[in-house]
Order: sequence, then C-alpha cells, then structure tokens
Amino acid sequence: MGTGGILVPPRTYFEKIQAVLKRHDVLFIVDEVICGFGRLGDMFGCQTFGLKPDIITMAKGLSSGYLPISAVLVSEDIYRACLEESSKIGVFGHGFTYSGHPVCAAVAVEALKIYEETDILGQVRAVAPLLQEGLRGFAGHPLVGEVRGIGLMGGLELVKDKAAKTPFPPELNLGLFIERRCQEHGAILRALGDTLTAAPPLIIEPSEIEQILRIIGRALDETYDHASAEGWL
Amino acid sequence: MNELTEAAPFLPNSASARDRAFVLHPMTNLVQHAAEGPLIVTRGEGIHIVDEQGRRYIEGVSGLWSVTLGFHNERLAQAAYRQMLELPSYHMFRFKSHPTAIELAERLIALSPAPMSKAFFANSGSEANDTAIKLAWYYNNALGRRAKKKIIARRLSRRRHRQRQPHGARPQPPGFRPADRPGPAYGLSAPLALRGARRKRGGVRDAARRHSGETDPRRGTRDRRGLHR
Repeated sequence: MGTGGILVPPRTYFEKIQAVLKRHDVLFIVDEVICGFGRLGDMFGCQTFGLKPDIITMAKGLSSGYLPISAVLVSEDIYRACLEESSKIGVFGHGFTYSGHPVCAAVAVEALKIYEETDILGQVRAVAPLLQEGLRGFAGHPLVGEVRGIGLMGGLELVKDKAAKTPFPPELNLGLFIERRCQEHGAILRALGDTLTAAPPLIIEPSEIEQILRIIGRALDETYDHASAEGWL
Repeated sequence: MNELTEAAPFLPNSASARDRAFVLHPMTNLVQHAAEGPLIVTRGEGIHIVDEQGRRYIEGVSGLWSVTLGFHNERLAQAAYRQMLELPSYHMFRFKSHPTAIELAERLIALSPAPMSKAFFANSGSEANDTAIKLAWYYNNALGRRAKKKIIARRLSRRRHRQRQPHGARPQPPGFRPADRPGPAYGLSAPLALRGARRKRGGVRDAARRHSGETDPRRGTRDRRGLHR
C-alpha cells in the first residue's frame, strides 16, 4: 500500500486473504497503480506477492506519468458476464470520452517498449538495495519508529517515543516540517502523515540515491532539533 | 493594455500570486497555501525538476509515484508528437477503435501477471478503480447476485480514500441498476505494525477473520468501525 504510508504486507498476508476470498466467492481487485511497471523490481506487485486477481487496475507508470491514461484488465469470467449482460441490455454502458485516447495510448506503448529494451527491472533490482539499506540505516535515529519499504519505495515513520512507538499529535504536522527541510536541501520527498517517503524515478543512479539519503539524514537531525526546541519530545 | 486590465484595481503579476488568485488546488491545505503559495516547477531534467528561480531538486517521489522514466524522455515526447500528427484524437465508443489502443491492449494482456481477457481504458487510476468496482457489481448482477455489493478495502488505502470523496450525482449508466450506488464498504485493518493490525490485534489472522465475517472472540463481533462509507 503506497498512499497509506508504504505498508508492505507481511509474508503470507495475501496468501491468507486470497484463501478467504476464494472460500466466499469474492472477486479480488488488485490495484497496481503504484506498484505496476517495475516499482518493486518485478513488472507487477502481483508477481512480488503471488497475487491471482480477477481484475487489475493500472495507471501512473503505464505512461511514465507523461499523459493521463489508465487500464483495467478483466478476467475471462468477468468479460463473459459483461457479454451476457450486453445480450440482455444491448450495451456495455460504461466508458469515458478519452478512454484509450490515441496520444496517451501511443506514449504508453512507447513506455512499455522502453521498459523492455532498457531492462528497467534489472535496473530497479540493481539500485533498490541501496535505497532499502540506506533507509534502514536510519532505524537507530531517535525520531524513527519504523523503516518500511520494498523495491524503489520506502518510508521512515517518525514517532515521539521510540520505545513506545507513540505518534506525534497530527496537528504538529511534523511530516510536513521534515518534507520542507528535504525540499530546502534539494530533494522533493513526501510525508504521508508522519511517514517520510521516497519513491524515485526508476532510472535513478546510485549516486543520486546516496544524495537523497544524505538529505534525509540532515533533515532528520534538523527535525529532531526542532521538535526538541518546541518541547514536543 | 485593454480596458479590462486597466479597470482592474490589482493585477497579480508573480506566478505565485496568480496561482493563489485563480487556482483551487487538489489535496492541499488551502489556508496554508493562500498564505505561503506553491513551489512553481518549470522544467524537468532527468530525475530532477527545476523551479521558477532555477533551483534544482531531485524528484524523490516521481511526482505522484508516476514518472518512472524521469522528466526528460525524448522517446516518449516523439511518440506523442508522431501520434499527434497521425491521429490526435479519437474515441472507442460504439464500434470504433484505432491501432494504437489495440496495440496497447494486446501488450498489456501479454504482460499481465495473471491470465486476463480484455483491457478497458480510462484516464486515471481513480477512474480505473471506480471502473473495477462497477465491474464487480456488474458481474454479480449478471450472475443474479444483486445483493452482493460490499467492497472490502484496507483502511488508509487509496480505495478507502476514494470511498470517502464525494461521488457526485452522476446518473446511472444503462446496465448499472439503480442499486449500484456506492454501497457498504468494509475497512479491513491495514498491516501497519506501529498502529494496529499486525502487532496489536493479531494481524493477518484477525484481518482474515473479519474479512470473512467471522466473529473475533476477543472483540465480540465484527469490526465496529467496519461498516461506514
């Protein structure tokens, strides 16, 4: 899960969820909007976590974000049901004016070619450990309650009390403070609540990952000093 | 200068002032924005962006997780330009199609991590997810299971977030029966070690139990906060 603060499912989480879904005949929709197209080192998060969805949604990396386009892939069973309904109702009554817009689709096709021709997955697998190990290097920092991440996405959750994992009151907006410190030092990172996150372009170089990590280290110290000075710790 | 501009008592002239005068920003604290203004990004270079003052930043979050290939990819620009000249716009309604969308669908089905039959296109991940939910309802309607409308998503997820946004009063398209309004949505605890499921409440086991509607002996019944939109 990305926007929730980069929550990586524990081992066997989805295995168990999928068994329950199957038992109760519940469809499984997998949202690959963030994880799809290489972010985790596989082409899709489904491959990383062994997911067998009925429907997959994808966007963002589909066009490298250059133009707005998304796709929904549906299983044969779902297509059959739509077909059946069309025979009764006469139309599959869903769609958008710009569904499959040619220019967006052309950019998406080109992005897929680039991923393949430049071995983007190999690139992600080569550099992702630098980010993950680098972020885990901050685990001992007094503000860091937990380090999470996988592939080229990761986050540090800031806490008031490291031992008890007590969060800061949200109204202090410490996440925004550290995000602004990073920006001041030349890196755009995003705080989701009090989790400072990184998810750089997949083409990032090792030296650029090091630069991000240096900036995070500096911003963490400044944020700690700020929180101390304000009496928030 | 025309009459209109001469008549205006105040003309904001910096990009920041004009932004604050005219733009309503998504996902933004509007009070803070009105006071401080935006970071105005004017160019991209590799994985960097450059602001209006010429300051460079590493874009460490790919914009909104999206810009996988950096902010200056010549091939993507050329692909857009070629298509602009060839067929800049067309739709796919009522038996129309075009080669580029066909090629994209074919590639995505081939690339799919699970066996899939067809690709439907939309313009954003939000629309794709709204579509997926409609399709799940549509599928169950087709099978005569019209009451099967519940959506289970993890708390904190993008899906849950969308469920809380105003959906407006779009008319139901044909084929989506009137009952297909955003229905009950269950919030499944997210696997967040610091705050919940994994550590404090038994994690996966607990989540799976609530997912299946079974009771939790420690808490009595199904998640109390579960049923809300």
